Amino acid sequence: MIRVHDAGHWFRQENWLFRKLSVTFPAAHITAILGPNGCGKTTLLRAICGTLALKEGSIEIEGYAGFVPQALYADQAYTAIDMVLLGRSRYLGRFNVPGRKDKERAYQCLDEVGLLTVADQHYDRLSGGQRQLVLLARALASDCGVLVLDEPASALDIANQGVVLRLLLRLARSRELTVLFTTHHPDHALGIADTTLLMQRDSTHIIGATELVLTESNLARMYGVPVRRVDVHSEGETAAAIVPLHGLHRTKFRAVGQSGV
Amino acid sequence: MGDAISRPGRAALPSRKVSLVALYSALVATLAFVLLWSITSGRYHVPFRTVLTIISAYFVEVKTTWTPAEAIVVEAVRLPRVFAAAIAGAGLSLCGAVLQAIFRNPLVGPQTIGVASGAALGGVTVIFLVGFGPLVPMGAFAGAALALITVLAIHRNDSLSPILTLVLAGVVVSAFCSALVGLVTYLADPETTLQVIVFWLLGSFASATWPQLDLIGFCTAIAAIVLIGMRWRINVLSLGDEEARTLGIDPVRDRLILLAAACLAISSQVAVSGTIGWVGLIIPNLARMIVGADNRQVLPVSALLGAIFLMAADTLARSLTPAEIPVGIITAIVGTPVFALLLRRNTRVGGS
Amino acid sequence: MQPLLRWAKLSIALAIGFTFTLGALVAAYAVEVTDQRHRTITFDKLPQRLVFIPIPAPSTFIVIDGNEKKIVGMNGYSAQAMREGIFGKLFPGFTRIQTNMTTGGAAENFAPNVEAILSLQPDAIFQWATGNDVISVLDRTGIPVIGMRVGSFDNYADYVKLMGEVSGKNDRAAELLRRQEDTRQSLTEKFADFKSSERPRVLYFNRAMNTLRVSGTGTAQDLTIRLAGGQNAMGETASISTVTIEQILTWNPQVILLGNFDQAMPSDLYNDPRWRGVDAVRDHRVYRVPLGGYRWDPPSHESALGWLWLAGLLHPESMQQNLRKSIRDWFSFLYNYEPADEEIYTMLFVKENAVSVGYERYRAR
Repeated sequence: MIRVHDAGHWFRQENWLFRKLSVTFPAAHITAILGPNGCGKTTLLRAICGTLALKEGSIEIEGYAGFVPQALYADQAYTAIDMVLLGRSRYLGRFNVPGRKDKERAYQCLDEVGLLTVADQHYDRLSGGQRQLVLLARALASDCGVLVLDEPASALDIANQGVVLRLLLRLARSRELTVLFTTHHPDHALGIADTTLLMQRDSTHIIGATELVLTESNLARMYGVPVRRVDVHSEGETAAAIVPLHGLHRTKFRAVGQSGV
Repeated sequence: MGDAISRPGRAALPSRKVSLVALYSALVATLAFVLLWSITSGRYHVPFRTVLTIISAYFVEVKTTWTPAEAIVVEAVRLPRVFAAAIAGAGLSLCGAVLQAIFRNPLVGPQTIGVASGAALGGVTVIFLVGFGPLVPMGAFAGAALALITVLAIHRNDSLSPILTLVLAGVVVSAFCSALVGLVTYLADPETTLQVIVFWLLGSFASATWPQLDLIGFCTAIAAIVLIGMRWRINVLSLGDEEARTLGIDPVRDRLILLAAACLAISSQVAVSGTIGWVGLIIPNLARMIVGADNRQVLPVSALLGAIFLMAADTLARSLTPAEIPVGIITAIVGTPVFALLLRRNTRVGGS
Repeated sequence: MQPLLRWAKLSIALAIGFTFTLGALVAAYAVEVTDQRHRTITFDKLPQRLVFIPIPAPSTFIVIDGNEKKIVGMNGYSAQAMREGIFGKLFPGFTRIQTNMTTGGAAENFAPNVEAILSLQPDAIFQWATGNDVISVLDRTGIPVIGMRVGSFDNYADYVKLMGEVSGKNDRAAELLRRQEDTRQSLTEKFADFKSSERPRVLYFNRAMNTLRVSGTGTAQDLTIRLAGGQNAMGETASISTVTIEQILTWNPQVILLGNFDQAMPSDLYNDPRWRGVDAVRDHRVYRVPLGGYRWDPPSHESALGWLWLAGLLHPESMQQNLRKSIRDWFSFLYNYEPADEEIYTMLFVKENAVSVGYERYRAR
């Protein structure tokens, strides 16, 4: 469980990003955080992980958070297994190196995300999806009770998005993890999140069950764009999509032949 | 799991599997070979067998078949010098590897954090005020420590890019120390002090004696224990402060310990042999090309490669001509083209 | 009409004759000097205000001229040498000479401080001719510049003659050179038949504290060694600025000379374990070169004493003459001064050289 109490922060003098934010992220739940750019989602995540000191307020957390950043930068030349091993650093003294137990745990976590075959490949040579999963494995290897992810599926293609979402769902349930992730995709929240926090620039935040929070009106108000929710049922699976109405008014597409098959 | 994972994005090359046992064996063997070559090389000709006999006399009883001059050449002139060069090479490379990891930049070296320049300034000031003597290494350490403290005081830990400000602070302190060294050189009495200062700054192992070897050996050993001991922490630090904190590490304190150890090693090297450049920059890059980025291997490999390189360079410096070529010139002649190649390599591969 | 014409012819003849006589008289007082750049410089009369930029030059000039009165400016390092040596005691007036003739800094900097020089209104300036930039800037001032060269003993003899001409004391300059030549001749004759095996191998160190700088073929020190009946341990090699200790062990000199350009003393070498393999150190034949009115290692007006001193150490049986007597003779000629025993003791570095073999002869009266 994570309890945020009266949190507030600014980067430029008195230019508050958010203020008097009090929320409780329930234990063993998957919570999604949505909000427009600049509303302080990432800042809140960093505060929860302990890498940022809030100007106001406090955060209570049981255990510590394992952080999964966006896998944007690929400039680390470590092997995949070494990257995962880095997650064990918390348990190693200053003059220690990972031992057999650490290595076993690391291989275990790499296997859980399905990347055991690429263990000896260099991190900067992996695909975007693979890198994201390696970082996820790293956070898992630290045996944290809370998993915090920063836009875990944003930079990935559709197939890889699915991989990550399915994985998060499975891990949260099997390990009773508290999962917290930020996203720009309401679909993802609707797909796996039990709870959702909507952060607004004017500091009016809404938190609650995803179905109750991600209504068309709430989303329209937050993003400033009218949206419609569309539910699809197919082969026993229900998927919800939020469709923004950008005002494109395209009635006629330019004629072009279809080449190939 | 989806087949998305097994479909690689870019070409996923199989990683090089370097047999570590074979590598370390090769390095140690090369070190022993270069050591032997160094002890048997020099302007004064001592036959190979005689050298071996003189050395074995330390361990077993042998009949004295050598001349006193030969013994002096091997024991008093060559041995301390060769060992000093090896230790200095190992120390500089080790410090360079650590600095490159924590600064996340493969093109930094002991000069970049201002420590080498600070040590030079400290030593030169002592020579200027008191003359050459046992106070010089202490002056060098004091100068190195002061430079380091200044660098840490200048840079802001809470800025958005603490690594960058650290490098900039180091550059500023280096420049300041160099300017002061220039001033001392200008003020120095050209009949006496100036010559000493200029020669000392050029960098040479010519004045390496057993007491000096003890000094650099002791300091470098302590530093090496700390630096190699923290090899895993260095891996963590190389991810950046933000990620290091999420992994449960306090980067500030760890960095402080590492920089202090590097300061000790570098200042002892400067005190014994003046400023020798390029070693701490080039060797860790070569090590990384062989064993990859993991500092559990990069650090020991750098140390071994550095010892081999500087020992070989110093042997050339004192054997090629009757004159003593400053070893810093040889490391520069080898180092600058390698540096240019590295520069091309690193900017070509570029950021992600 | 006739007397007028006769008077006119007489006047013209007198005028012409007068002009020629005057010209001749002026010419008689004029000084023509050829410097070491092979340029001819003419002075109407003897220059009275001189500036010296090369460091050893003022002391040589003072010796020739007999006093320091004509010198208005000199190199700061010349003044320093005078302060530290006996020279300053002999010519205490040197303190009034201006010393900011160069732009300062290292002793190797001979770049002239043109404004300071011009403000002294000198009649002539002495400068090293070896670097074009430091002398051409002075040529442009319009003041006569006398170029000097250094290095070998022949260069030295040339500029002694030059100074004789400039000071008007040609005789004295010639006498100085004659005396040095006499000593040179007698030493050459004495050791002419000595075979190579009878000539000890000597190595002269310009610097020995940290850098090891040795003098090779063609240098004044090489000449000193040969005149004194030795041979240069380096052989026919040129000078080397930073020689390795192993190279010295290879040459293995039997006698080592430590110059006056740094502080090295014989005991420094005796105490250093790396030097033990050298014959000169093993046999305790390391000597510090004396410093009299000037250093005895580079070419100077006291060079003859340097030759005699070394010869006495290399071949004590052949050299019977008393060095102290020679010193007194020379000092009397050069400075008109009788040095006290303690002063000779200090000059010869008797205390520092006592640890070396054969120096007792210089301790005795």
